[in-house]
Amino acid sequence: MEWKKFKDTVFALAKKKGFDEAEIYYSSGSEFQLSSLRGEIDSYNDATSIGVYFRGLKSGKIGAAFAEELTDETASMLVDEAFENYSIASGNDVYFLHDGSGEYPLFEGFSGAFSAQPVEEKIERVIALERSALEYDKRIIMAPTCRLGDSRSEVFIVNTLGLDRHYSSDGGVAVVVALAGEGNSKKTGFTFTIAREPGDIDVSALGKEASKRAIDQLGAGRVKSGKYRVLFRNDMFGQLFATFTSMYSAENVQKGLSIIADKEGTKIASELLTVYDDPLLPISPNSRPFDDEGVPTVKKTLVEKGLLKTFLYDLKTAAKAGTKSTGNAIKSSYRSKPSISMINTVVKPGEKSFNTLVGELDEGIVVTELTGLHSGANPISGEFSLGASGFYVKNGSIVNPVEQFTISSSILKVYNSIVAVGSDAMPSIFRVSSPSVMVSEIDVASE
Amino acid sequence: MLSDEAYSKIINRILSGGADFAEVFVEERYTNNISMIQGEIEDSSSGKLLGAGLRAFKGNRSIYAYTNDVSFEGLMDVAGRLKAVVGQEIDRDLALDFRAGEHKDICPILLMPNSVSKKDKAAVMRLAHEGASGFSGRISQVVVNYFDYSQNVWIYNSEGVKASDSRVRTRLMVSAVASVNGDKEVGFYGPGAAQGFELFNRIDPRAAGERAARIADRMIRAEYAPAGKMPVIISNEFGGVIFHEACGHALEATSVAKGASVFAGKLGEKVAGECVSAVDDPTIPNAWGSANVDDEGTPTRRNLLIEKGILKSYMIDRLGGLKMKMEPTGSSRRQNYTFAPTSRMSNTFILPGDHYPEEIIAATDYGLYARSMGGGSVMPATGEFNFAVNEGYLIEKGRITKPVRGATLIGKGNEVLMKIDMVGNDLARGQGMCGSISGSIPADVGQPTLRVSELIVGGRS
Repeated sequence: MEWKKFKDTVFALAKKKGFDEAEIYYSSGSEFQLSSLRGEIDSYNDATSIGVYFRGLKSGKIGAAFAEELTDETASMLVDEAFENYSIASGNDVYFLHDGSGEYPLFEGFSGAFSAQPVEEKIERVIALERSALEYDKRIIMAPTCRLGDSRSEVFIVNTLGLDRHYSSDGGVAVVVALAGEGNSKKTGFTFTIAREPGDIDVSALGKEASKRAIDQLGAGRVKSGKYRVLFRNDMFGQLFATFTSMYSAENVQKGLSIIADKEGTKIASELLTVYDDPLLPISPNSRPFDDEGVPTVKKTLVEKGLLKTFLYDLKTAAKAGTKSTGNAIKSSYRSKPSISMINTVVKPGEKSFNTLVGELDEGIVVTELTGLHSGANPISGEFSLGASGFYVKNGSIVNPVEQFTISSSILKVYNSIVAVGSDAMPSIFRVSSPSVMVSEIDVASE
Repeated sequence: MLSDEAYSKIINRILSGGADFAEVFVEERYTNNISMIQGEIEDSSSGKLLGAGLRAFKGNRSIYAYTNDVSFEGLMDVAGRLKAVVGQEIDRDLALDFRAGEHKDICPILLMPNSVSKKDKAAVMRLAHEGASGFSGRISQVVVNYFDYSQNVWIYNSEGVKASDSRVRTRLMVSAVASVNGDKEVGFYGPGAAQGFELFNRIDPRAAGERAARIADRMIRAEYAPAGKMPVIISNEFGGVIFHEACGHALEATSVAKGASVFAGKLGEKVAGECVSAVDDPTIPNAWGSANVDDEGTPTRRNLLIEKGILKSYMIDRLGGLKMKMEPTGSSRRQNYTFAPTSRMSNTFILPGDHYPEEIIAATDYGLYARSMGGGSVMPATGEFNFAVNEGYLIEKGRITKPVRGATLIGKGNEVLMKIDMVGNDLARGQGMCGSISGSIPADVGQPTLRVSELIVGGRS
């Protein structure tokens, strides 16, 4: 069934069922992915998909349902399921739908450049990516992961209050993991980039950097347990930072699940820390002109020189707090409920190069890999204990690679003990763009 | 669903591009998700997923495409795209003679999820909430999540395989937060099974809530764990995550076939202490990671991975088998039709040994007792793993003396296996979601209580 007719059918059924208002989120998209192994295409993925998510509102309560086809049968299934879901909703929370008001930013997230790139060229590029990693050094054994991908999506949100919006976006990604070996030591190095156009991906530099990272870790030793000054490489600080961004969610604040709940307007970090959420960041494939409730997005400062400026709101939490939605209601997939999150987190860079920071570290540890972010970090308590590897630094110079240690602290301690911020901003896979950041003291455990 | 003849045509279309192998996987799935925070239902959603994944092999190359359009025309269109990728043009219109394999249903369902009202599901969640929130005055926040799904799959391939399976899963997950003076700790427990609503005839939701609360309540009053190298006793059930992460992933063909596993080329060699035997068994009736056939239509079977310390088998999917020149082991899985299948674990656990758990603790002068484990991760190429201890205790002079929190265990899988020196007799399994390249899938981990002679514990002091 055609989308417009489907929408009208669903809205008519929703009204008949007894919902006050109704909303449909519809997304369609495609994904393309190639990976290379030993100079040949190892896997090739080509996909198209659609998803539809229905929400019915009645007396401030919501019922939702989803499906992956647009048929008459689906239309009635969506409304019936949503109504049963609505019937068990409880609590004092009052939900709203957006009426489409507000200033919608100009959005140019779709270039079509990846779709236009011939497949033969994509194949050449992914093989070149692997080659650049393999040829970097004879100690590179292989590249266990070497992948280029691109995707395109179109999102529509329409409701019975008059909201009717859509946008398209596209972008690409490249990932390479290089495995190096010498003697008994085996190490992997990882690099990643996101891009709006194929030309933005420098496959040669990316492959070499992954291999360099693996080689540099070979023969890693141990550090003694103790307290160290730590320099997080840009991507690692981005990952650590991203793990704890749920504390900015007004939902968590209102439910007592945020450690900064009562800190609005107060100092929560070193004055070297400034953080934005920039939903229109040109480089990010996650950028969008409105959130998944249809509210226009806007760039905002969360932390300014250490002061907590605002939390992130959706329609429900904003109404409860007597403020306006910040346009941060985001679905993790078409079929999930929108929940509050950052869109593109930007940690404001400073002036110092990475090498200058290593010099200033004097004695300490550079962290270049973190593991266990999904298991060893507690976003509610802010505590973390993570596996790490990196380099031991003495007298301002890297002495040797170190492995198999853990770093433990709490995120607010990290915020407050930031002593330097680099100029080397780098977008990480966690939708955070961050420079390298130095922290005065962290517990390190090893032998 | 389409007719056998239609699937034959679709597969032939892929083969006519010169592919060596072609496969169609069709999936329909009904799901329910309910989320309760502080005793109130905050989100309830349900729906139906429908799609198909088509796959071709040419040599060792895998080509995969998926779509939501499962009509004959839709699938023929995707088959045409796969054909174009392989790029040849050969005459091929041999009708396939599909043979459906015989198997008995190892996961019979008594109460199908969609036959139970959402109100009844909410009632079970409320019991779990009460169990957790009433545990102690320190419990400040309780989140209960419930989900179920009924997945039906149909698999056809160019070798005449025709298989179908129905997988039903139900799970209850409780997170309890304990707070003291602004300090917070979280406890979690999430029992599940390849069962319908009858799961709650076996699992007491209130007890599940109490268990999550107990962990948070103990940990909020605990000191930080000591740091450094020490013996670690890992309790049974979800403690098996150590084997899952440290060893299981590196025994999947996904990493072995690439040579990107520390266990590649080690069949028949000693990889663990003699007290260690381990299996991956997707045939356990109604277990969380069980299925009748895998996602390539191969009947599942119990695979002995390690026997008395000797590496016996890997977990192998069809493509991995081609690359390794070995038979598939019924271990191919995927989250849903949007993922190409690959070798994955199902219910993976260390087999029981001789020791009573109390005996293992008594034999340990100083160390960490990891009673509840959190999740973890591993880099199969190097074997480096890490995982979080959700509930830990200190062992001093053969006794458990006090709770400790914030511990992380790190090590290398191949090394830690060799360091397991005592294995208990109290095998139990726990449920988790395992993430890898073919998505997030239900998997049981398991083990008896066991001791690792030394591990690095990340802590604070």
